[in-house]
Amino acid sequence: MYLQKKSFHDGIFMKPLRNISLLLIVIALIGCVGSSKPATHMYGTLETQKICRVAVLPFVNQTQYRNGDIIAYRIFTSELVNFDRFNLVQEGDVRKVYQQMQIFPGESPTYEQVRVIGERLEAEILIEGRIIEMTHGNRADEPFPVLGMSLIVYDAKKGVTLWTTYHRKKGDQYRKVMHFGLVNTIYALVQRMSREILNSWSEVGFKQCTET
Amino acid sequence: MMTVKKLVLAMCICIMSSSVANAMRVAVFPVEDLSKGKNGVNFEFTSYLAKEIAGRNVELISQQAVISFMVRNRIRWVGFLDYNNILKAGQELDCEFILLGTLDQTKANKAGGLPVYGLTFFLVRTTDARTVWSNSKAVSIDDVQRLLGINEPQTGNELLAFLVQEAISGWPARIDTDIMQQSILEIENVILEPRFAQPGEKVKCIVRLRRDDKGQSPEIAIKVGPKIFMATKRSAGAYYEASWKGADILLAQRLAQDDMGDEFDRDPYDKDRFFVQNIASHQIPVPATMASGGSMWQMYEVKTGMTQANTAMYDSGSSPAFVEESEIYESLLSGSNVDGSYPVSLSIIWPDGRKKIVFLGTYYVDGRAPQVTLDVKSKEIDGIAAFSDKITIIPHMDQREPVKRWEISVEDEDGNTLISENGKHFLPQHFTWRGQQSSGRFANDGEYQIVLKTWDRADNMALAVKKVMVVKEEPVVHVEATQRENAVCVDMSAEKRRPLAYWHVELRSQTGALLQEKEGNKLPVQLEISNEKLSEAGKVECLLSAKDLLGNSFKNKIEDIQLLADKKEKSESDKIQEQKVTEDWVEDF
Repeated sequence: MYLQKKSFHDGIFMKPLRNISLLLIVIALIGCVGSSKPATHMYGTLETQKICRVAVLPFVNQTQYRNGDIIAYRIFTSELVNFDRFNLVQEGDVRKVYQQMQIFPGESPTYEQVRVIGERLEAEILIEGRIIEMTHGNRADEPFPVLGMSLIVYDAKKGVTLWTTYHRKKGDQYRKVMHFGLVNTIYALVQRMSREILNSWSEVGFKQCTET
Repeated sequence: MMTVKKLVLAMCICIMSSSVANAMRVAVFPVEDLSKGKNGVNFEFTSYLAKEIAGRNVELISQQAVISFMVRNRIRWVGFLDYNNILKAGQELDCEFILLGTLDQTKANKAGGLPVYGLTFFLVRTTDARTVWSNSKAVSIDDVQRLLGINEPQTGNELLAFLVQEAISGWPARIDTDIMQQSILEIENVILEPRFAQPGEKVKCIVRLRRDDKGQSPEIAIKVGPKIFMATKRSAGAYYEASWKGADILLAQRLAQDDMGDEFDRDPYDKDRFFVQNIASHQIPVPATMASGGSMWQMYEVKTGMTQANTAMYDSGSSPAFVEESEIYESLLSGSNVDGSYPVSLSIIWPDGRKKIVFLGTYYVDGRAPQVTLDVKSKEIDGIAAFSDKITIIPHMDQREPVKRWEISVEDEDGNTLISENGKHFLPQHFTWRGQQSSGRFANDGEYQIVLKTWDRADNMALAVKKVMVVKEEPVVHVEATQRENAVCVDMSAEKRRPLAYWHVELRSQTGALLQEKEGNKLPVQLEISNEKLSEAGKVECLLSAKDLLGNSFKNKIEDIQLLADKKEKSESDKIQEQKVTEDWVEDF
C-alpha cells in the first residue's frame, strides 16, 4: 500500500517535472536551430594590429528595396562607431573621392582604386558592402524582414582583400519564445546583423588602435 | 538670514552659469528623409528633434543659421558632410558639434497599421571632424505593444515621438572636446592624364591641395618610379602641375630568382619589377637562366625603346666577363620596352619638416596598336565577298582590349566614302551593310572596300580593310537557237563570272502542252527539238528562269524558237553577203 501510495505520488510530481524539462529542452533546441553566424572567408591576414582609421565605401544595392544601400550604410556605420570607437572617415569625404575618381553608383572600385582611396582618405581599412536580399516583411507570405548582405574588407595600403563576410537572416530567427525577441523592422534587422558581423570580425583581429 | 539667502542665490547663479558654460553647442543639420526620395529633407522633424535635444544640456544653433551656412557653402546634400565643411561649420556657426540624421519610414506590417520608422544619428565634433557618438533605432507598433493597450501610440506622429525619445535616450552627457591626433587631408583633387599614353607622349599631373591654415606653401613633387618631377604652382588657387614624357622611365623585369640586390630601384608595389634610368647606351647586367640550367649574366645595351642583347658567360660565383663569340641563350626577360604601367606618387614636404608620400594612381604606356581583322559572311565571286541584299561584317581582335573609338566606312574604287559610322568604347559584335549610301540610295554594282579604323585607349590606330562586291543586277542567260538538219538546237549559256545556283527551262507548244523540260545548276546546256515535233506543235515557246548564287533571279520568254533560229540563219547569211559586197569592185562609184 505504502509502495503504491509512493509510486502514485511520484507519478503526480514526476510527470510535470518531466514535461517542464522536456519543454525547456525543446525551447533550447529551437533557439539553436534559429541561429546562423556570419560566414567569413579569409584571403589574407591583418598584419597591422592598429586599425586607427576606417573608411566605409558606399554600399551597392542589388535588390529592388528603395534606398536599401543608404539605410544599410548608415546603420552599419553607426554600429561601427559604437563597436570599438573607430575613427571613421566621414561619408562626405568618401563620396568626394568617389566623384573625383569617377566611380559611379553601383560600381565597385578596382584594386588600384582601393589603394588610391586608402591613401587619399588616410585609412588603413576599407569596407565595402553589397545588399543582396532585402525585404521589409509586410507581405502575408513574408511577414518578417529579410536581409542578406556581403561585406568585403580591404587592406588599403596594399589594395588587397583581407576577408569577405556573407550574412543572411530573417526577423523571426531572433525569436526567443512566443513573440519575444522577434525583429519586426528591417532597420532593427540591419542593426542586429551589423553587430553580429562586427563581433565576428573582432575574432580575426579587427580592433581599434589605442590612440594617445 | 539675508546672508544665507544671498549665498544660496549666488550658488544658484554659479551652478546655472557653469551648466550653460558646459552646455554643448550643437548645430542640427536638416534631417534626411529617405521616404521622400534620395536627398529628401524633413524640416518639421528637424525642428522637433532640435527641441527634444535642447533639454539635454545642449545649446542649439538656430536653424536659419544652419541653412544659411549650407547655402553659402553650396551644400546640396543632407545626411552627410565632408571634412572641410565640418571644420567650416565649427568656425562659421561657432559650434562644437554637428548632428546629422537620417529618417526613413515604410508601410505598416499589417493592413491598416501604423508605419514603421527608422532613425540614425551621427554626432560629429567640429574640431577634428570625428564622429563621437552615434545611435540607430527603429520602431513599429509591434515593438511597443503594451498590456491592455495602455499608453500605446495611436498615430504615426506618436510613434515617431516614441522613437525620438528612444534614440536620444543615450545622448552623451559630456564629450571630450580635446582634439585627437589626426592627419589632415591635403589633397582636394587629382588629375592624371592621359591615363593611357603613347611612348613619348606627355603626361600631366595636376594636384589641388587644401589651403594650409598656417599659410605655408609646401614643396610638391611627383614621383614616377625613381624619377622626381618638381611641380609648379599655378597662379590661381592651390593647383600644382607637373608633366613629363610617358616613356622617360624604362621598366625592366626581373629574370630568374636571383636577387638583383640594391643596385636598382625596386617597385614598392611589385617585387618582381624594378626601375632603371633610361640612359642611352647604358649596359645593365641582368641575371638570366641558361637553357642548360647554369647561370649567366646577360648584358643589355639600353636605348630608348630598343634593346640589344650581348651575352656573356660565367660560372656561377665569378664576376661577369665578355667572351668573343657570344651565344644567345634563352632568357626570361620579356623585352625591355617602354610599354607598361607607371605608378605615380605625390611627395609633399612642408616647411615645418612634415613629409608625406601619397599614391595617386597609375598611367599606362601603350605603343602597340590593336590587331584588328575583318571577316564577312557571304558567298564569293572571284575570291571577293559578294552580296545582293546585305552583308554582315564581323570585326576580330587578336587580343581583346578596350577601344576608345572606332569608325567604319565604305569606299568605292576611287576612294570616295559612300557611308560611314562611328562610335566609342566597345566595338560592336558585327556590322551590316545593305548596299546603301548615306543618302539612302543604293550603290551601283561594283567593288567596294570596307574600312574599319580602331583607336585604343592610347590613341594607337589599327586599320582593317575588306573588299566586297555589290551585285544586284540579274544574271544574264544567253539563249541561241540553231537550225540543224533534223532539229532545232537551243543553246543556253551564262557569264562565267556569275555562276548560277539554279536554272529551269520549258519548251511549250502553241496550245501550252509541255514538249520538253529541263533544270540544273550549271550552264552551258543544249536542248534539241526535232523538226517533226516543231511542225506538229506549230509555234514553240521557250520559258527560261534562273537564279544566281546571290539570289538575283532572271526570267525570259522566247515566243518562237523557230523564229529565233531563222533570225540567226538570216544574220549569218547577211554577214556573208556583206563580206561579198565589200569584196566586189564598184565600177560606177
